[in-house]
Amino acid sequence: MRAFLAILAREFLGYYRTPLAYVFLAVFNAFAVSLAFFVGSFYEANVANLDRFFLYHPWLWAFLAPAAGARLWAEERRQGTLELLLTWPVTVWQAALGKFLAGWLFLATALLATLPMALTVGWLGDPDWGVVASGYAGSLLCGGACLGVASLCSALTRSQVIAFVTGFLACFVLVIVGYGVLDELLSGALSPEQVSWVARLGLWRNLEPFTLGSLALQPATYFVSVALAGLGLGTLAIERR
Amino acid sequence: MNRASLLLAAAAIAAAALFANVIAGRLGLQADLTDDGIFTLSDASRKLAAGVGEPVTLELFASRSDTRLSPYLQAYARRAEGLLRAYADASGGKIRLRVTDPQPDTEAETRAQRHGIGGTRAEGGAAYLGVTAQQADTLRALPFLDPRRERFLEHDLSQLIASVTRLTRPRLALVTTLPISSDLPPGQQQEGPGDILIQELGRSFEVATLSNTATELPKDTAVVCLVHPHHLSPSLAYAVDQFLLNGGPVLALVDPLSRYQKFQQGGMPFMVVPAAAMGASSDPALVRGWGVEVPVDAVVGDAARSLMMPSPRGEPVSYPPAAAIEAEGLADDHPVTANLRMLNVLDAGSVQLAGDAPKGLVFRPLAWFRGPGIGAVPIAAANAGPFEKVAAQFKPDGRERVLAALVTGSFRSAFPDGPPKGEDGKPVAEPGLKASAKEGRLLVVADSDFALDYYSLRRGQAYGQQVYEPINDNQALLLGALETLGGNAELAALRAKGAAIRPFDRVLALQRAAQARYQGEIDRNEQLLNDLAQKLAELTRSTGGDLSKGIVLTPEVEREVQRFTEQQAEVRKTLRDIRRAAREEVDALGRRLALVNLLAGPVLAILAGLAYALLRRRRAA
Repeated sequence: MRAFLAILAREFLGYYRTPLAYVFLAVFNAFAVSLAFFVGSFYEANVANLDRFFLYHPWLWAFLAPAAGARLWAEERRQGTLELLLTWPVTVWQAALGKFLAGWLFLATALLATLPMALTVGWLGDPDWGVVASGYAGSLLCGGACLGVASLCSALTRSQVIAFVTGFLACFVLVIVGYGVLDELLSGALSPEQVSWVARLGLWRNLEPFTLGSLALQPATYFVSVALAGLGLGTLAIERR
Repeated sequence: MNRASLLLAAAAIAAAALFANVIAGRLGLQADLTDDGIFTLSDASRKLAAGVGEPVTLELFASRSDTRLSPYLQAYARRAEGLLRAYADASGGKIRLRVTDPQPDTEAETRAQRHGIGGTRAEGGAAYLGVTAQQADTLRALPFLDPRRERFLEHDLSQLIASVTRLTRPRLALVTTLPISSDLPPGQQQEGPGDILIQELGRSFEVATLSNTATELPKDTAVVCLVHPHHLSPSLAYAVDQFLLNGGPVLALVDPLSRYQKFQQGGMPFMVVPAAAMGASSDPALVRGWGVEVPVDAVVGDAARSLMMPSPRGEPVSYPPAAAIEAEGLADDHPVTANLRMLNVLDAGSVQLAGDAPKGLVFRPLAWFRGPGIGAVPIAAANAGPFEKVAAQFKPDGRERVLAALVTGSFRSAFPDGPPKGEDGKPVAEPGLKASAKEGRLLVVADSDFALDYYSLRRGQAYGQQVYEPINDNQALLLGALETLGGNAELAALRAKGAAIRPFDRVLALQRAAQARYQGEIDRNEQLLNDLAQKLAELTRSTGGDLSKGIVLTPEVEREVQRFTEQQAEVRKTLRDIRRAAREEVDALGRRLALVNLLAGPVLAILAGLAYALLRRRRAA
């Protein structure tokens, strides 16, 4: 357990040792706020909730979770420190989980930095705080799912760049599933039931209930299972070395 | 790990993930974090959903792409979806929800149109927001979810589901002496005074409309509604009497003065001409026979809450017998009236228990007049009109009067001597009950005009749709009363939920303040514009023609016209500037907030970075 926590701490603090982390935080925040204000017309909508803010989070996570997750394994493999890590008194699974949680905590800090948005709606009107809280919880889970996918991609390659690009593409697929445009494309080939079923595999369909204030088991399970499956498959790939 | 076991492990992970999702989907657990319990169905709806036998498919048609449905309607669409999902979850898999975003020119749009989902005009095609419910071959639709009916959203959805799952709706016998419904096909008739009312009733009931000359009630009648009864045929009166004594619920709208009947007799609805100054009272004898008194010798009013009526010259006059009853005049602990906020009545009367009513009848007031402005006008005066004269004869006496009451218990027959005799001198029926065989329920409202469309709805256009906006809760009272009495009492008891869409209070306050600050200036400038336009018109009239027809003007007049036109342009520009200034504060706040939020993240990140670097350096030192 101590070794596990040591890995968690090492990985988490590792993010902050590079200037990249601060660039990441700044970019995430700038995009989250700009999309809400300038694309989502958050202010003009005149509704005291964060709907228009969370609406773009799947896109943000699809881009930024692979950016944060690309280094998870690829970096270790490139530098040859993976073997070193595996000499620690932990199993590879514990190491993987530690790395993943560290990455997720890092994403959580990025999300935390957007709290001024919540304060803004609180100042402008009288929002339903339960809905705001469940929106944040959903966004965090969504980020975790993207990070799981990213960690799988990172485990499959030595190059951080390739890990990022493949991770982004994989997350991108999860983002567009369930958007109206794809639904229409699919409706040519599939029945409405099937289209509706496919849409449930996408990130937004599962995030949406959270943004409305419903903490439901099914979408939460979706995010957690995507994260864990990515993590598990990635770890298998590492173990195989 | 060899290749085979690796693949096996990978497959196991994928299967476990899939399995977890399937199980979670089946369990359908959720916690509702919203203040208003948006995702929490009331017990009545939950029972309805759990009781669904054959599978029901709910389909929400919502145009979700940002430009086509306004943000407000989008928020409402999501609220509706959350509620629909709650039905699906409560149904144990019997109710399925499908959400469709009908893009222009697609199969989905065709389906929406086929089901009667109304498209609202919007940029880039029509926008849809409606729901259908389908069980086997039965399909019903709520063509447009109107946010103004938000309080009734759960009620409407439950009713929609109930309407497809119940093969037969309870039968409502609507006995009316007013020509409020017509058998002519739609489009070939004039708009009736109760078209929307009957349409609404039709959602919950199988409505059978009877005139006073009918001789019997339809078979399987679940509830009887008497609208302004008079001169009922003896056999119909006896049938209704026996219906009540057998435990059948009756709603009676007994009116000392039916404005609509007066209108039918020749006057305009709100103008009384001498020729029509004859009686238009209901016949209270039947309910009097049951032990409930509705005096028809006077109309009741409230000078403190009177409404405006047009005088013969057209200007509005305050007319106390047209009055509002607000929350303090409504029983807040009875399902019929608990959710109502305001009733408007027109030449209403009052209800009370007769002195000789059978012991054991329970009289429960649901709506009443109370306050120093309450009073009455003799019926003869009210009949003679016009409004301003009647208003002058109105004398407040402050005596409380009941407008609507539910009477329950054991009734005696209104025909103590047995069935009345018909024209042929023979009894119209075999002798029946002389007193209630089962506990009886009689709801009496001492007005009939209140329920008609012209006094309870305003027609308008919203989002490109023809919509009827309730201006009061009059029809809600009638529909709720009938549902409680004879329909699905659970539907009627559905609690109204709070409005879940919350605006930016601070922005609204800014807008109001700006409006207050600039309104004077705007009015002044608009007045100026009007004056200028008038002067221009006068000028052209004095020169004998229309400017646009290119008549020849003298140079002086031309200069004047030129001057006025320039002034007009200037005032218009001033107006634009004022309006922009009024908006500016709100816009500026938006810009400031965007900037603060944009900077907050990076600033926090930099501060955190500096703090961490400092910490590490200190630790290293």
